Amino acid sequence: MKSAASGTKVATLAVAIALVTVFTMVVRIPLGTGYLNLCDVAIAFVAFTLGPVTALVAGGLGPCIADLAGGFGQWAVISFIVHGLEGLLMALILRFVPRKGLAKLLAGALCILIVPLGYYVLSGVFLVGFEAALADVPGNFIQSTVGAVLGFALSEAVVRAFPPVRHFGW
Amino acid sequence: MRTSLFRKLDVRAKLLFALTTVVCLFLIPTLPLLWLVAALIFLLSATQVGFRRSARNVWIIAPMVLIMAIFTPLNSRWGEALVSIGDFMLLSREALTNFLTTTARFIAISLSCSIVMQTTKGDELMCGLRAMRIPDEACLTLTLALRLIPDMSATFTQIRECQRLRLPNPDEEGTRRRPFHSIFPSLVCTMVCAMRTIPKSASAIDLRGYGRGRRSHYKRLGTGTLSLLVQLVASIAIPVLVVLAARLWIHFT
Repeated sequence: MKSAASGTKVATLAVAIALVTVFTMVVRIPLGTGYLNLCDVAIAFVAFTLGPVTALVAGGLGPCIADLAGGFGQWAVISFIVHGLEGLLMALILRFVPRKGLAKLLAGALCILIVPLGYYVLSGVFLVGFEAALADVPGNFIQSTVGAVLGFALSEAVVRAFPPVRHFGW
Repeated sequence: MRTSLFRKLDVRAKLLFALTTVVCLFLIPTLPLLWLVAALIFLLSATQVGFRRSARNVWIIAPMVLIMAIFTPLNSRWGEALVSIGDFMLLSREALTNFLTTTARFIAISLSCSIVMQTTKGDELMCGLRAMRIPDEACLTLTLALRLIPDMSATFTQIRECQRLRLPNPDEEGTRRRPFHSIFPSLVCTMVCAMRTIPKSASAIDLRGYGRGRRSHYKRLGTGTLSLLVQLVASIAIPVLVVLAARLWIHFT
């Protein structure tokens, strides 16, 4: 018989996936002539607050579902890999590096590095070629930088507003 | 379009068709045949989900195709020059061929994925995943997540509106782009609302007997008039036959 904790795990994963999807599809911030989406904000929040497994699954599936629903199905697998890896590695750093300040710095640097590089390599190899993939690097860099900074700020604010959130991670 | 053939097919056959089509796109030997296949997939999409939706699906990826076109001169800087400025080769035949090949595959893959997603309901997808022996826990998680997405989206919109109405001049604020920092309170509130749903959802699924034994399933996949085996075989056979026909055509001409 499954324990009551399984119900919480299922609910935590479901809410985290939905949160990342909503932040990717619905929440847009105007930036000059384009838009930022906030999937990296949500993934950074989940990595900081809800643990590595949730960060891996929500980080992978959230943008994947958003891509499939938004008509960008060809990016779904790449988004799954890049953002899933981003969430997992950030959460692992935050969990296992003892000094909080250093952990946040390393996790943020990883987020800023992994997203533009991951998209550049995978879309260059499988989709559009390396030259065209280069055009997306500045946008992804800005998005991941904003994501890391805002994600950490948000998680501090949310933990202060709703302390039980610390116990949902696994 | 509500009674199109694709909507009646089993979701497993549709997923297999999309996967096989994507793989076969990389096996078609020549450019004209690749564009022919892309056109056939567009025709299939138009007949199954409507011409407007299919055109919209292609229009969505137009910016990416434009970026690929702009960067084409940087690709494959060897071979026969098609466009030159003096001694400087601007565009080679190789680069143009690569661009057209990549574009055709890009469009065909997008349309293949779109056909499946636009002709499949959420609960059918869950039944299909369960039929593929994906654990109940994973199916339940995904179902819950898909159920929560529109609710969370509506919550965010409500919170934004409430925050806007609290401003001194809400009508003015609503008509111009708000500064970046004004979105932060809305994001915090949305996240807190989302986190508050975790214990409620957990107790709801526990009260419904989750984890207390074998669960009942109320929805079944309907396979329509054709048996599942026929659909699965057809899903693999059709793209493979197209590739074989293309290769035979090249061989004999």
